[in-house]
Amino acid sequence: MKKNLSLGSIVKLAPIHVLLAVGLVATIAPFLWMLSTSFKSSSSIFTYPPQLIPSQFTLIHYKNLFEKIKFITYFKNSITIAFSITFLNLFLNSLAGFAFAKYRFPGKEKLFTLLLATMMVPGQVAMMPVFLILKNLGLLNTFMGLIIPGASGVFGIFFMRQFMLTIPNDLIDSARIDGCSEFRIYWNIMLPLCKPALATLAIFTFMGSWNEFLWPLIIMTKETMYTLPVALANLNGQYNTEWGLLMAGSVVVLVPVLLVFICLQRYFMRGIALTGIKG
Amino acid sequence: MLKYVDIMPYINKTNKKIFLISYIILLSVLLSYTAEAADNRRVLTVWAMGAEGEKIGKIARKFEEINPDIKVVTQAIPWGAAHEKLVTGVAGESVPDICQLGTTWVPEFQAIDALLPLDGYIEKSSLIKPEKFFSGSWNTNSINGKMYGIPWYVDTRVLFYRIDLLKQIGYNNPPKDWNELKDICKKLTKDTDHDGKIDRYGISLGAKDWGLLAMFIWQNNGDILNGRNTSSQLDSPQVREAVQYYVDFFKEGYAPLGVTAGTDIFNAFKTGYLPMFISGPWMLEEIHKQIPEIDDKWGVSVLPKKAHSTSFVGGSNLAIFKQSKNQDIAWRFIEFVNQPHIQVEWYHETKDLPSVKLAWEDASLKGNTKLNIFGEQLKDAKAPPAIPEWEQIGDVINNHMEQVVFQKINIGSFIQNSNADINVILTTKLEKQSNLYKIFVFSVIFLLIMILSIAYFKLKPKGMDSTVSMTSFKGIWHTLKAYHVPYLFIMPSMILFLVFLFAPIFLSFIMSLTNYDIFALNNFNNLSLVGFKNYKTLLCDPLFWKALGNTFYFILVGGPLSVSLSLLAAIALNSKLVKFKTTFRTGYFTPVVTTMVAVAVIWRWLYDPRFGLINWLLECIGVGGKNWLGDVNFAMPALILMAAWKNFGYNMVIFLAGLQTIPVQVYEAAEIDGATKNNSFWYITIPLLRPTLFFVTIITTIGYFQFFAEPYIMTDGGPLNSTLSIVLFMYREGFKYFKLGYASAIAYVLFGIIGLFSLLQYKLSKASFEY
Repeated sequence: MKKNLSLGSIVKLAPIHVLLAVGLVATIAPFLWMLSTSFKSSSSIFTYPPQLIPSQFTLIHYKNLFEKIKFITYFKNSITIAFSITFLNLFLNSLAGFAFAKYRFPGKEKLFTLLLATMMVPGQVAMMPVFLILKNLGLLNTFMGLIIPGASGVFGIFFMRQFMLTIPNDLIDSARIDGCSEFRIYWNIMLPLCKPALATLAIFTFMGSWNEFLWPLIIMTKETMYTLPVALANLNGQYNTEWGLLMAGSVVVLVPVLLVFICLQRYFMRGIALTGIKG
Repeated sequence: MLKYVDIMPYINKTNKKIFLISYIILLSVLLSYTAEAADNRRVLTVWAMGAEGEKIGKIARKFEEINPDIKVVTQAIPWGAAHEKLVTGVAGESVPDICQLGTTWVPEFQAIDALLPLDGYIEKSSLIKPEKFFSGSWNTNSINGKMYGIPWYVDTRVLFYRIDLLKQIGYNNPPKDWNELKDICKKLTKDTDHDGKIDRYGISLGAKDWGLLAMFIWQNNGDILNGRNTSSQLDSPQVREAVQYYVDFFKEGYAPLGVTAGTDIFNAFKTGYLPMFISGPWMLEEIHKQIPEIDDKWGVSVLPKKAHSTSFVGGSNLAIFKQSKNQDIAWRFIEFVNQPHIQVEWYHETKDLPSVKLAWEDASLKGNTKLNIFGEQLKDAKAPPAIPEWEQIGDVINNHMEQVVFQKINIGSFIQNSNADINVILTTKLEKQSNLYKIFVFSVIFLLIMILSIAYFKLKPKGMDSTVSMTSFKGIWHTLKAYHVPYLFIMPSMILFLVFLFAPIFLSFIMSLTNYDIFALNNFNNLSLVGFKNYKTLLCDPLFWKALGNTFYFILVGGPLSVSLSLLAAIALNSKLVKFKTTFRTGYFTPVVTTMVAVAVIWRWLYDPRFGLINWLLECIGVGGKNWLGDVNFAMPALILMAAWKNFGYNMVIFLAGLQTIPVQVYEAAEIDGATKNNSFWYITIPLLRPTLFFVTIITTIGYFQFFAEPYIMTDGGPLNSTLSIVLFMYREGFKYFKLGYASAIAYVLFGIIGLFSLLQYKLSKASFEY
């Protein structure tokens, strides 16, 4: 439908666009304010009325963040854990999803229902025993302690299964006839076909792991093992009113996530839309 | 529906982007790992809190100089988080070798068997002997005749005041007694610019600070516990008088109510907003550092007298953990730190008062007038009883104190409630019989019953799934062999789920039937089965009901707010008239991908009552700003607003997808029939969106039931527990007090409630699905 930008149509379009634009500003404003505060000198932060653009631009908060507080350690921890969890999830979930989607075996329906049922259970129920289990295995304060429990997820299996159900069986059948082993069918045929689903799952898993707060808070009791959200919470407790430092910390925690999001936002939207509509 | 055929065309472009990003990140991570050099020295870890935490590095370096084979790693921990961190550390086996412990903490950590008795070391040492220290502080380490720590520094509290502001109102000297203190506060409290808001208070007093209250109680000849520390003595007339005196400061407006850990005392002292406050020796240095402009305008004095001018004696001790593998070198560090010249240096570094008597003879200390006030005050200073329950008792007093200061309850109730709660704490005895055997047997039987009943009901032959008999060993073996491929594929995930999902869910229930706590953590003999006692206690716990109420408030107000906002946004963006859809959609979705922690920190800043953006905007449009996070009535709404901001994008996307499934023809048909835009919205859009609406409501509700990070970061459940959520309550009980049994009961109750709610919502929507 072609749109003529006549005066009449501008008047008709303007109100809703203005409304949406105001909404957009309201949504983004806190982030801009965070950015602005992180570059202000400490004295200019405590001014009233607040200045939107820093009058005294300074990088000292970032300097403190990385030199005094050694934020890079937490950054490293978060990345290591997020990457490991993502790769493991991709592998294990696609494997299990494949089994649930393309195979028949006794107990399949019951098992799957059981898995779905556990999605109803709030994670906090498992918190205490998992802590004790990890403690007795000696896995507290280790990367493995966070990665292993998180290496597979019910939602991931569900997601991969849904996608794989839509892949036609002919390819698999013809590969079987040609004498291909089951694992190779999975590895060489299914996985490449699932790239978009894998990509979506990867993004969600990575983000989820990066943003995870409660589990690392409980399992990592040594400060050097903190992930970014826990480190930021610690910063919030320790440097309660040093807003410049806190905002700089928030920037470091948020910017990677936001960058990834902006580049790959299409995958996000599609993935969420999938969960919302009964397939 | 995410179909394979729809997506194929999009792979090639973004594929490369993804690979590039992950490649770069992976590379940088690997590079950073290689950058760490090897180190052959023995490592000693030391934890210190507050200002000491920041400065101890210097002492550590000096120690390293004379002990080149030892590397000292220090870690600074904020006081607010330290207790929890230590308990977690003991439970989580990540304790340091040495830790600074507040004097009131030593009994508690000794009780959970975390500390090493030091008597052997003291005997062999020439440097560390009881007569070299102040007896009050030495004794804070003595429990059951053994020493579990060595005093590091002492402190006491005095009155800090603005000399010039007191002169202004006619006082050339600091307050001598209670009457003068009240009078000065009365005269100081003023609305100096006549704008209706008080710009100057009399004094800063904490609403949740048992230490301050205790001082006033002691000054009036009262005490908190009786002589043998077996019961509470808060119901004496002396205590009542002292509490009344304290509460009156708030009642008459001489002390502001909103003072929390987050208030910037320096700014306030400088501007005169808070001209007096009670604090310790570290402030001498901090004030000079942060607000040197008023260096000559303030002074310190001994606390105003009633029967006495008693202050609080505290300080910190250094303790060695039993779990430490470096006990000998840890002792060497303690000896090093307690040498008089190091103590003097430490004083100059941190202004912490030396615990070693000889250090006070040093010339640099003797000539300091402000310091001498502290020396004077130390002569009349008391410490709370050295019992492990003190931390809990302190918390109880804090909670009730907050209530009476905010005038939610009167003084009589404060005394009654505190007395009752303290006595409960003091008389709870641990059941020390080993019931581990009972628990084991019980759980096994329980598990067997569960498995057998599931097996009986669910594995009965039904359709295609059971073409092979599952009831004989041969049958099972054949099944496994025939279907080994899918079983192998699901095995890794299933094993993980068994260990980290199914087993914990089961174990959690069992745990909720025991009295598992910090004492049982290190010693299973302390564990026993208590049936449903935890659940009973829970139902009688007012904090539980408060948390439940708050959570429901959050859901019932926040849920609809968030959902309607998302629906509105989705409808707006779905309209054909709108351009730049992707921009708007991406923008609105942005808060969703961020971590709640960062969002909470940012919004804490936005809600700052004096410098925050929100109050500034409100002032601009003429509406008054409020102390959002410090106000009982507005803290929860503030959190609700923030949660709505964070979540609405997510549901918006789901709604958008749902809206797009509604065929245009339906609207066109309605238009032909004469329906207005309004009609089509209510009679077409909403009904056809029912399934999506139901789905969105359920996931939002379930998510909101579990809200934790918001109150944890922004308000710590306050003020007055108005933002305490169930999960925060559970986290505290489980990981702050380590009452794991109790916390498991809370978790199960939460599980039950969520289940009930979901069932309810499911039934409700089922009723109206046919359309």
